This record gives sequence, C-alpha cells and structure tokens, in this order.
Amino acid sequence: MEVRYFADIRPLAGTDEEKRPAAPTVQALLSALAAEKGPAFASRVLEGGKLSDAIIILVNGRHIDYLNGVQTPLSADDVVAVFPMVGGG
Amino acid sequence: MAKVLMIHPDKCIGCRNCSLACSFVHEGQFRPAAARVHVYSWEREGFSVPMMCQQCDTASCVKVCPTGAMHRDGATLVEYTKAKCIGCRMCTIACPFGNAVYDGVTGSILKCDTCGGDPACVRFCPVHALEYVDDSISTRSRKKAFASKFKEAFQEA
Amino acid sequence: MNAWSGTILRVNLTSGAISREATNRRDAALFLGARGLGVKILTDEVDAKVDPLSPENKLIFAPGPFTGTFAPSAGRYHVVTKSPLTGGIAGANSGGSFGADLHYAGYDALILEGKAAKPVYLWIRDDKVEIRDASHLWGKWVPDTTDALRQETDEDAKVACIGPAGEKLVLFAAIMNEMHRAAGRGGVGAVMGSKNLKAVAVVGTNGIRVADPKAFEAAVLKGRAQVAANPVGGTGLGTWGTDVLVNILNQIGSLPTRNFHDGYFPTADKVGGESLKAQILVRPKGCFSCVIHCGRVIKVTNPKYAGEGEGPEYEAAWCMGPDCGIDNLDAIAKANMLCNEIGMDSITMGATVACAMDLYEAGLISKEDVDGLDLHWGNAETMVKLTKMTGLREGLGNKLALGSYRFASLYGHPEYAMTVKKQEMPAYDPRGVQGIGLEYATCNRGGCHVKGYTISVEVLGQEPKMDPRVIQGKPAIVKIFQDLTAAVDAAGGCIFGTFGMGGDDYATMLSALTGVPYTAETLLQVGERIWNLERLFNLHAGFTSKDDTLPERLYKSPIQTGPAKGMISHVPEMLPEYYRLRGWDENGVPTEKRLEELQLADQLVGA
Repeated sequence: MEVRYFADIRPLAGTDEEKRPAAPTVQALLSALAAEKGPAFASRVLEGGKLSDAIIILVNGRHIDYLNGVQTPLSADDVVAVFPMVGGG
Repeated sequence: MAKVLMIHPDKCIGCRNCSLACSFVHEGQFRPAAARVHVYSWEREGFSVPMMCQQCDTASCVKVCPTGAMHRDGATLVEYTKAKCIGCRMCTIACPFGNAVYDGVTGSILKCDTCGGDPACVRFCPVHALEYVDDSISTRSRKKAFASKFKEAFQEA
Repeated sequence: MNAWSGTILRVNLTSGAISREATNRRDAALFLGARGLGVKILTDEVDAKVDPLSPENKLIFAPGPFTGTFAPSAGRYHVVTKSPLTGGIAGANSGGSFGADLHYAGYDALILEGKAAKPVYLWIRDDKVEIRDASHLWGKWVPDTTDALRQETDEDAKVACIGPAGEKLVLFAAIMNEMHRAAGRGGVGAVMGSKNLKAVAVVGTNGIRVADPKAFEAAVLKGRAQVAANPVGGTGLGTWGTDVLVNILNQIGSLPTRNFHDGYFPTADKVGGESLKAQILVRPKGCFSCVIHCGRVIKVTNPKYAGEGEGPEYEAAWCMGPDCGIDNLDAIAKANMLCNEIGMDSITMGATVACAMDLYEAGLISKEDVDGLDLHWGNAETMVKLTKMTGLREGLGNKLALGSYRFASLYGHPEYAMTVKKQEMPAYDPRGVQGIGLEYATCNRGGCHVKGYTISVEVLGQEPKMDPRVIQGKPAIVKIFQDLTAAVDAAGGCIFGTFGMGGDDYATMLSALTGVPYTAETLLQVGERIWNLERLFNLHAGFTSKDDTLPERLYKSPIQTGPAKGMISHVPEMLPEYYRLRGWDENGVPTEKRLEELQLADQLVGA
C-alpha cells in the first residue's frame, strides 16, 4: 500500500510518500500513523482520535466521504493520499 | 513599563490594512492619504515597509517647533497639540524619516499617536508585522537599528 | 454618499473630451459596482454586435463599494468590455492597489470611449484628469512603463497599463497593475491597445465614507476571524499559494494533461505549491486590504530562466506545465513572468501552446509551420520561447496571438482547441469533476472556472461537500456559485474571501458600509441580475445555447490513466436543469418572468 503526504503534512510525516503493509481500514491506518509519527502528526491529522475536519483523505483518488468514510477498507494495492485543506482558484 | 511600536518589514505583505485602520480610527472614514502610517512598496523586489513616527528620544521635530505644538513631556510619546500649531511645517522638514506629514485637508500635522495606547494598525495587521511591545532595552535598540537602516535608505540625495 | 463616490468619469479618446456624471443611485443599489456597474454601463451604451477592437467598443474600469475600505480581502476592481477573443462580454478582475486609488480619486467607474489618434495615457489625480502623450512609452514592457509613469506623474501613482501584447492586439492581452497583478482574461488589454491607450495612472487622496462605522468595524472583525479560522483562507492559501492545488487535482486524476488528452501527470509534484515554496518563493504578498496573502514573490536563480517577479498561480503552473507535458518549474515561472511583463493572460497563453503542441504531435502542422522549433510535449524551452514570441507577435507567435481556437482553425482543426466560446478552459478536468464542466460551458465570459468555482465543494472539502463524479445537484450549486461570485465581484471583493465568509457576512458588511439594507438573499439576487444581464448581452452578440457546451474530446475521449480513468463529461445532461433553475427557456433565453423578478424588465424592450 502506498501512502502519499502533501503540503505541511510532509514534514510532519517525515516523508513525501512511503510504502506500508496494508491496514484493514482508513481509521486503522490513521491510528497506526499517529502512533508512529508522533504527537505533531497526530494532532494535525486527528482530533480526539477521529479524523480532523481540516484533513482530506483520498483512497485511489476518491474522497473517503464517497466511499465508506474512515471505515473504508484498504488492501495492498491501494494508494492513500493525505491532504490538509488547501485552497485555490 | 512603557510600550513601543515595532515594525517587522520582513513580514509585511503590503496589504495596507494598517493605513486603513489608522485612517478609520482617527477620521471615521477611509482616507489612507491622511493615515499616520504609510506603506512603501517596491514591486520589482516584492518588498513593502510600513513607516510611522518613531517617537524619538531626542526628537528633531520637537527641537524645531516654534510653538511647542510638538512636545515631549518625558513620556514615551512625542505629542502633537493642534491648538498650538501654526502650520509652519518645520517639523516635516526636520524629521529625518519623513514621518511627520502635513495634511492640507485638515490643516494639521499627521503623526502617530499610538491611538492612546491601543494602536489600531497593530490590531489590524494580519501578519503581525506591527507589534506593540514593552519598551525594553532589547526591543528599543533593535527598533533603532532598523530605523537607522531606513534613514540610510531614504537619505535624500 | 456612503461607500460610493457618486461620480462616473467619462473620457472620449477621439475628441479628448473629459466629463463627469453622477452615479445613478438605483444602478448602484441594484448592481453595486465593479463587475455589476461595469456590465450595466456596457449593456446600456454598447451595441452587443460592435467590433471589439473598434472605437465603438468601450472599456470600463470600476472599483466596488468595498474597494479602498478594510473589508477583508476586498480591494479589487473590474475591467468590463466586449471581448475580442470570445465576441461576448469580458469581465476581468484584478487586485493590487489600483482600484482603491481610483475609488479615492472619486470615481465609481471610468468609461473610456473612442480611440486616440496616437498613443496616450490618462493621468488622474483626484478631480484633475489629463490625457497625455505616450509615444515615448509605446513599446515598453509593463515594469518599465510603470516606473516611467511614476517619474512623470507621482512616485506613489498606481499604474494600470498594457505591454507590447496589448499594443499589438494579441487577442488575450491583459491589463497589468502594480506590475504583477492582472486583469487577465478575454483580451481586455487588446481593447485598451486598440484605443491607443497605454496606461491609466492614478493618485486618489479623498476618503470613503461609512454609513455605520461601528457596525462596519464589527462585521469586518467578525469576517476576518472567520477567514482566519478557515483552513484555506486562514493558513492554506497564505502558506502555499494557489499552486498547492496541483497535487490534489492530480491525485484525483483530474489534472488536464497534454491538452486534455489525459487527467493524470506522474511528475506533477515538481511544479506544485510545495516545490514552489521550497525552491523559488521569497515571501508571500497581499493585495489591498487582504488578510490572506496568497501572492507569491519569487526569484528564479537558474541562469536559463532567471528572474524576479510573482507567481505562478495554479492555472499558470498547470497550463505551462502538465497541459504541455512540462514539469520544469523554473521554465514555468519564467514564462509566467514574461506574461506579466509583456501583458498577457497566462492561462490562454499556456493552453494555446499546448494546443500547438497537440497539433504538432498529431502531424497536423509541420516543422516549417513552426519556424523549425521543436513542439514535442514537454519541451520547456520552446514553451518559454513561444511565450515571448507571442507577446511580441514574432514568427509563429503572430499566429498563437489569436488564441488556440483561431490558431487551430488556421490548420483546419478547431476541435484541437480546448475552449468554450473560444476561451481556453482552465485547470480542472471536467470529465473527472462534473460541476466545473457546467461552469465552463455556461460562464458568460467563456471557458472560465473562477466565476463559478464549484471546485471548493467538489474537491476542496468546503461545505456543502459534493462528489465530483456525480451530476445530481450540480446545476443548482453552479447557479449559486455563479450568483454569489457575481455579487462578491460587484462589491469589490476577492473571491478567496468566501473561504470563511458567506452571503450573510458580505450582506452585513455591505449594509453597514452603504446604508442600503442587503441580506444574503438580496445579495444573491444582485448576482443573478448581473449574470442575466451578461447573458442578454451575449445573446444579442449572437451566442445561442449551442455555445453552452464543451469540446467534443471531453464527451468522446475518456481520461486515459489515473484514478478518473474512463470518465467523460456529462454537461449536456445537466444543461436543461440549469436553464430551468435560471428561469430560462429551453434555448437558454431568460424569460420575461425572470427578468421582471430581477428588475430587468427594461431589457425586454427591443429584445
């Protein structure tokens, strides 16, 4: 499974992207990452253990809101992208 | 401890919220031509600096003022009393930084008065390029160091 | 009068006559200012069938009632005219400081008519207005023009000017102010050039009055706090600039690649906001009264593309990058700086090069046709060369200066132009994001994203969040965004203020400022009114519902790779509901009923 990080999540994750063994769900992945990457990452991505409102998670290019939210199951060929809310025009 | 208005030009984004707030608070309208803080911008370099009265310890404007309209009563501020002003504009010539400005519309000198201790420019600056901080030895000497750099930069030929 | 200055300045460049008239109060209340007032004046005074580059077209500069106050991120002005690129209405929005000074000088609008016999510039110092000789400035690039004009007028003057591109009538020439800010799209710079008008320099020292200062200040502080608390308006845009969008669009597979052949570009990260910040960013910059500071002051040290300037924005990075198959950030920054310095719309410029590359790769234009240049996908050096050549109308650039639709038509293949109403679509693939496709198809100024930026809710997670792939609910949200944006534009606001402030917040601020009681609902109506007036202008100019569509490629050729592989656009399925919600008939013509509701019944006469 590939996990990609963007914008200010990159320095918090310590990398732009990495390969990881598959986690069962997005929630499980986030909890594992929070534990591994430390409090700065955890407080940015999670709020009280749940996914922060200011974070967008894509699985294979699809926003998890249109899959199964944080219960979206993951497999070894999936690509997960972690974005802070960014802007533009 | 008394406070002083600190400028951090490296943070300035050139938005002019400081001038707008100053004008609004003093006149109740938006007329930044009459603000006491003025922002200078250099587009090629993308650099901007807000400038206002430095409340000099030994103020040139006070020295040249014939009526005492510009005066310092030992407090931190150089104060302006319009009632005593004769509009000679000597202070605008004397100020080494050009921070005293004559406003033709109101017939007064415009210079920063720190809004009675709660500077509007500091409140409205979105990036904290302006701060109102304790007038300790360290902040004042840094402020003066900056000010003298601008004095070099703005030295009239 | 509060907020508005109450005066419109009219300058006839043919006769040299300078006159003033009172701003119509009813127009001001119904249309606000900027885009709204500009559109009202244009539709009242200019025949929609006029030749855009003829003296009969008019060029209108207008600030909004907010412009020059400390309403958050609301210091904008609009340029309204008939577009030489699309043949419809052009409305270009710019930041910087020019609009504020025009407002302080005492004008709600500046109307430029006719054509000067030789190059001139306009110098405005409050109520002192002069037409001055500009022969010595003709040919100068934008930065030099700005500096020269400040020497001749006032060192603090704000200057809106054209570069060689506007002078030479490049159909997508821009008007630049404060050197790096652009009234970019639709060829407004060409209209200025066609009038032999090189620049407008202005110093304004009057004030803008506020109806209820206490209420205005309170509403502004509340609005600022909301923007600061919004992740996009508060830190996202200010930290990364708009170029941060490259990666999220790419990761959802909707980053148009190689002239919309594909939607995924593997090396996109090299040209995104993260790379920009790490490699070329000097500091952020804000426009007048801005609290967001998304502007990027940059410096490229690579000797091949060296320079100092601003940008690139997301759209520029995209069209000069992945749309051309290019992943060289330095080259992109250089080409964008050239667009600013010569005065051109960066989006149309990059997308036109992409179209030329597409034709070249397909063997539809030859090496002889392209001055022996190599136009293969990914050739950054060629892209930069062509940018300069286009602005100066040299060699192949002379043809690229027509924009991609006319360029591709020269070779018998207009279907290679990724345009709507002859204006190039921007950086969101409508096959992967359905709603923005409907915006492209229906925007009154042609292929445009910013006048109905549904990306906020379809991709960027703003409420109400919507799935980019579905068409349900998109016609409604497109209409709301188009109407709200028109109102914010007309008030003088930057649309990025909507990352934090909503219709209610704008209405509260506007009411306290103007003394005219607006609500979120009546503000949306202002926007809808403006939208319909623009639509009527376009219909009179000859547009029909057939023009409310995307290039065939987006219906027939699915995205080839990436997460949105296999998708196409469904704009035709959304159009009928969009017309219905707009109160238009099945041909997209506003009905009598809707026009009456919008107090546009006077437009029915002679229709």
